[in-house]
Amino acid sequence: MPAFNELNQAAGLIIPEIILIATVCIMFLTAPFLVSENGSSAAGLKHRWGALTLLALLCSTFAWLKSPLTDGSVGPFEVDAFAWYIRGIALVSGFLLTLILWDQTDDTHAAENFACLLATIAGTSFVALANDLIGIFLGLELVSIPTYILLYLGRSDWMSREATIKYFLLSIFSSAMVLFGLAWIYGIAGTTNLSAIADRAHRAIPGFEHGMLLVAQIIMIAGISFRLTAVPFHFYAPDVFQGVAPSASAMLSFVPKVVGFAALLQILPLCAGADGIAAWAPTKNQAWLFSTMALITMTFGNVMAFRQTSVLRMLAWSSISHAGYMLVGLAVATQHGGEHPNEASGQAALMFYLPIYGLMSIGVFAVLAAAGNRSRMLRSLEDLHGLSQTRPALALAMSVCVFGLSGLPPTGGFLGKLNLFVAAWVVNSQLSRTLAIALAANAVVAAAYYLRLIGLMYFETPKTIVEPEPRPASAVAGAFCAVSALLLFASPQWLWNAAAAAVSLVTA
Amino acid sequence: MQALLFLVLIVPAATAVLLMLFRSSLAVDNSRWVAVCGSAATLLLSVFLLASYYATGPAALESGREPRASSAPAEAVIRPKIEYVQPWLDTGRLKIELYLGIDGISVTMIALTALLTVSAVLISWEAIRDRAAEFYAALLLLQTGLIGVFCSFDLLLFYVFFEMTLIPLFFLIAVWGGRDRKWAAVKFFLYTLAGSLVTLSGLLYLVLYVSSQGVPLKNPTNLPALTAWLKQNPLPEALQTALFLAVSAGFLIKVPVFPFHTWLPLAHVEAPTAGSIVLAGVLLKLGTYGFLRLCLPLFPDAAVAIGLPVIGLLSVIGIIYGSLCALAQSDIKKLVAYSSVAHLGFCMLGLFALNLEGITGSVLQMINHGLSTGALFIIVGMIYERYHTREMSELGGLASKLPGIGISMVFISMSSIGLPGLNGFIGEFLSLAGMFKANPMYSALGTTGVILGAWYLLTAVQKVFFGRLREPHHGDHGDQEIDDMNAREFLALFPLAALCLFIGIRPGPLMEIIRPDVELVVDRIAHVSAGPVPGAPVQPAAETTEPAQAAL
Repeated sequence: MPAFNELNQAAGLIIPEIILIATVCIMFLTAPFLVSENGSSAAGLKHRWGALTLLALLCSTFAWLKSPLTDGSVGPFEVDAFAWYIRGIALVSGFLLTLILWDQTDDTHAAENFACLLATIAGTSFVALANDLIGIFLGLELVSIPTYILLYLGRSDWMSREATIKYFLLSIFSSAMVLFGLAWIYGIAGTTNLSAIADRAHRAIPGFEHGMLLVAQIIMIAGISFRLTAVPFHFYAPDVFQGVAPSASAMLSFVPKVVGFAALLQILPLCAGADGIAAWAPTKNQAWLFSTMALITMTFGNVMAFRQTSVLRMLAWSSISHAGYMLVGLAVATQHGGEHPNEASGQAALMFYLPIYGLMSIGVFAVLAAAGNRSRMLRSLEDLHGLSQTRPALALAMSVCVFGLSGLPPTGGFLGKLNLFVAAWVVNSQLSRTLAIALAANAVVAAAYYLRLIGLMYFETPKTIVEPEPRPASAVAGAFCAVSALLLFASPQWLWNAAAAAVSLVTA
Repeated sequence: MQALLFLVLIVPAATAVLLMLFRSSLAVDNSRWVAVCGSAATLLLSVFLLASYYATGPAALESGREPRASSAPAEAVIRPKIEYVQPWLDTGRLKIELYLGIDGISVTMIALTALLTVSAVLISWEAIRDRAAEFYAALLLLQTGLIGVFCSFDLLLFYVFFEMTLIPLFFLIAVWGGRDRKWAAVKFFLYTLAGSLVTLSGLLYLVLYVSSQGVPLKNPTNLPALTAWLKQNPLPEALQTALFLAVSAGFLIKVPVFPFHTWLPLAHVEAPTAGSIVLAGVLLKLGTYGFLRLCLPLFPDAAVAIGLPVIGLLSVIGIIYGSLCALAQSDIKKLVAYSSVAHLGFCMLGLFALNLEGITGSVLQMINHGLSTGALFIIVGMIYERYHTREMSELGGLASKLPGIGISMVFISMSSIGLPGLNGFIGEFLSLAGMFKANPMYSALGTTGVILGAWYLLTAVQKVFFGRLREPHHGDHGDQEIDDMNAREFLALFPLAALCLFIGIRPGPLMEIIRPDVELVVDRIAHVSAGPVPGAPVQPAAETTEPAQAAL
């Protein structure tokens, strides 16, 4: 039975995801029986579900570390270095987000909350694993659909509802766009298998890039840009970040970006006729498109962040501007090989920056989650006033993460931005050098509002007294993020090697 | 000695981490003691470092500069004597190393940093009661950053430490500063950050340019190797000029040279005394040190072509402008701040004389200014702590009431003015003499700064310490008796004053330590003026000052 064998083989490749999805199923199926009809449940139920979630992640991580890399698979999945790397990012962020969620959820909805989170983590991996357009789209949806539930379960006030509805409608729309774009690609190539598409595109080039493929790309990129929060598809971000619980904002600030960049890195090379990321250098159109987007996104994000009075909105704009920084990596991606086989290419710099950004961004939200309490979450900048006096350790963790976001040493953020800058600079063109300079200039502009954030925590006297509530899980997540931001500065080589291997610059 | 170098870098950082970890369980008293122990240990270690460096120094000097235990290539313009190299991040294009080392210039700067930090800790004893543990942690982190700058010989590592000093000083000013502290801190931070990002761009351009050339350098951020490479493959003139200007941007602001100085008086006035001491004493030296360490060896042609005429001119303007501003101040701390602008003008003037006398004088001036201005800020801090004012019009005749402080003030002022026999004289004289060889006009104009310096400092001394006793009405502190200098303050001030005297009388040992490394730079400049002849024998430094002059 060859079909059965093939399925078996494919299943063997995605054991980490199977573990996660199986846990999700268990949680969804059993949770309703543990909650009574009037919506009450045993106290401490969330601790059990949280522990189960961590256990599932732990097993999944173990499977991830044990799973061998395959190459040249023709099945639906392929565990290459890229998938391995994205999977790692997804799992680590899964641990951190679980910890933050632990403090945010209530016992009644704990199972659904954790299950949705696990599903998004699995979806993130799927996008990178997929060897097929359908697989990529399924992965994208496996991230978005649980996200709607996750957002809705987080808090129950009008702001949260508005945010969730807004996110839901826009996200559905963007998914449709992506699907439409993928359909165009399928229409052109006549197949959904990634390497087959690349092959056809390659044979048809030149001349092929114009016309239908261009339209297909534009539609698809527009859809995915929504997840990256790239300007002009960013409009929802400030409202949604402000409306939902910190655990959900932490998730939204990072996971969709990973998914988006993974999807782009899977599909864009095909459209340029390159099989795989390593052989891809952006076509002229792609380079222009991403350069413009990067430029506008980082500048607009930083300028808007200045004017915010809500810390969550400010972080949303900061997250938008970071999408711009990372888009620089795509815009200046270079073909692997040639004169400097090992050089700081855009893809590698992007892959290097992605987890660093994730740590710092999740860290900031973890601190916000840990510093709030059930009746009152930190929302406006005034809530942060004098945090260093009321919660000194949290303020310290937050300032490390914020310094990281602004790209100052001694944090990993500095090395991340540095590599993006170098990657942009070495591509010897007017456009990429403009991008590099814009990146540096934006770093200064951004430093001003990040500094303001730190200033509020350290130099103001507390205005609103938030009754401290012990939230150890979020605090642990925040501390982990801050410490690793510092450690990644001290010892970045291993991460770079992994990131470069993910885009096949170094043969591991 | 490698271990010693490591310890000097790590002890302050470790103390800071300790303070932060146990901040809630430490009383103000204990955190002070922890800070004192940490900074004193660092001082002790750096003195050991200096001593052991000195012990091996003269031998190397006598037998030419060759038998140095250095991995740096023979052609290198910078040759650290003790070094520690460890790979850090290699991305193919960018290979950054953890390259720590010391040479004569850096070892003295490290010792100065360690000494001033001890004084800064001691002088904050009573003044800082609010969040003392954090204060000392920030101070010690600042010290780590400063020492790091002085002992890094990798371009990127240098930049990282350079930038790292911003964060703790930002906190020192913004949390424990004066009335207008937030604005001062933000202005300081953004101004210097903007400058240093331009510097970073310049350095990165250089690194990427070098690694893309025909004979690429494997590790272009390695400073000694880079200087050697550039000596053999000189950069095109136009590129050198552009890079010189870009790399200078951050240093010009840091020093600060004349039109870029506006952040300094503000930051000084608002910073707590300890912050001012370290800011004036060491942080500003990062700028001059950066010029000496990076701009001169990496872009010697540009240094000759535009450094001397342009930066020399700006320094002269800075000297006169800073002195005149100091003269016009009524706030004594602002006066000292502006005097820093003037004194660093001398330092820059000597540096861009580009000859042995000038650069030696400049390095001495860095140390002297650190000692005497640090001491001046200590004294101003003592007065402020007693009277809560720095307005000279509200003070007068304090010498009779506070003889100890009065005597110190007169002594330190003399050192700062440049009275022969004290340290200021040696530095200023050598700087001006060096500049006289290069450009007599600048030197002559710069000399007026010495006279103006005497004018504003002596006026201040006269107003505050002599004449009729005038004390401000000191509000709720009124019932407190105003005492003279106590033992702790004496301990903070005495080593600085003693060193002022020692260097004034016997500058020999100090000059012996820095001389070989200054000579290397001077040789490199002379090499330029004589025309780029790869492999040509390097002429003795003393005679090569003429070509440098002739090139102008």
